Amino acid sequence: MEDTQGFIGLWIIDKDSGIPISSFEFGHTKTDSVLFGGFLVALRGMAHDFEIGQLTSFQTDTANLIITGSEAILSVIAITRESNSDCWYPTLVTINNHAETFYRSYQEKEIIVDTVLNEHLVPEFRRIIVRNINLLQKNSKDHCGSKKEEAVADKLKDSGLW
Amino acid sequence: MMITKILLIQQQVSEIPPLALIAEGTALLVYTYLTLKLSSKWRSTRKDATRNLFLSFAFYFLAVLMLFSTKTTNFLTGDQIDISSLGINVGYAFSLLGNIFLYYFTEDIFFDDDNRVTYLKDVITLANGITLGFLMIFIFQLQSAPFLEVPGEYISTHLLIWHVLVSTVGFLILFVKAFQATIKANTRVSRGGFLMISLTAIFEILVFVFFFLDRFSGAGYTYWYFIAWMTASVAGLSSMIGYLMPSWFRRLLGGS
Repeated sequence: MEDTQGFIGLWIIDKDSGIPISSFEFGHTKTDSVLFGGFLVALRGMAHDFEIGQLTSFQTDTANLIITGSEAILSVIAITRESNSDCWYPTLVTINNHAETFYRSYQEKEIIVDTVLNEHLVPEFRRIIVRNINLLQKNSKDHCGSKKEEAVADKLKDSGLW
Repeated sequence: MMITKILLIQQQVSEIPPLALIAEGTALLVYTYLTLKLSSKWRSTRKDATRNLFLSFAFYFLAVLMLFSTKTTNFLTGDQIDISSLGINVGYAFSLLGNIFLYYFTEDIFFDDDNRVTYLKDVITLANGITLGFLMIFIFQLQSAPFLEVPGEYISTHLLIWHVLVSTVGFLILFVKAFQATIKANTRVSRGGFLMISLTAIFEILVFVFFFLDRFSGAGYTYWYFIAWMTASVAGLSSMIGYLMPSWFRRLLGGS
């Protein structure tokens, strides 16, 4: 089996509706993106209603799911529990920025997204993810050191400040 | 017209310019808003870092409130009730308590177990505790040599220098850590937030420096006094942006 350095899957979701915009998993897709998008938006809504801060990550017994967002979209990456979240967070941010730019440009043109975006974005996602996997394989976890500052930002978010 | 007349009469009687009350009142509004926002953040999250930041700004708010209320009393009553010197000492006492909790917040957020400086928290608490102890002497009217150098002065010069130095150390640590985070941050939003926090630390240092300069720039209200209060309000505004990250600031930097 291919060494993915803990990467399981990636989903890009419309922030308000939960409609999936794009997703990427190695091999054949196992996740129902529509269900996943709805579930995530509901979970975020609950966190907001209960005033317990923003949903930035959650865990299952086998995976860590990290979430980031921008104006129009939410990006979620699933990695194994053994992987270092810090090593994947910058990749998720990069992907999120790409997807946001694409999504907004398509929204401006009033084009129904779905398949169009998938065609454009999936090869780009694959390139970014594979690059990170290669980096992790080459440098072990050294390049994740610079993530300390994001950990500080996470602490501020966790404290309800950001 | 009538209000202007009353203000001018009161200024002559009390020797306090109305502009001083406006400067302090503006800062009071900023710190009241900030304290209320932080209190609601703390109530909803119950995190240590948020509590420490809230306590820090609550004490800064009390310091400003103390100074504003005693100065207003002096202004309105002429020199019949001279309690602004008491207000200054109590205000300094509250501000140093604010500094202590701001340093605790700095440790909570910017330090990990592997890079925490052993005993620094205790040293900063102790250094501020010493200032508080001496301020108590002044507050309870137990002034005596060598603490009070000039008869009739309202605060010890030695104590003021010590307070400025101790405060600067705490703020400098916050500035260095926040500035490092600014340089290394990956997103524009994080970079902007950290930059505002580092600017806050600089503004806070400047507030103490400007008050210090005012103290040595002759009698009465020098322009340093007004610059100090203006900087205090600006520090409050940059804190609001840096710590609370309002949505307009996030949007400005292209975030969600």
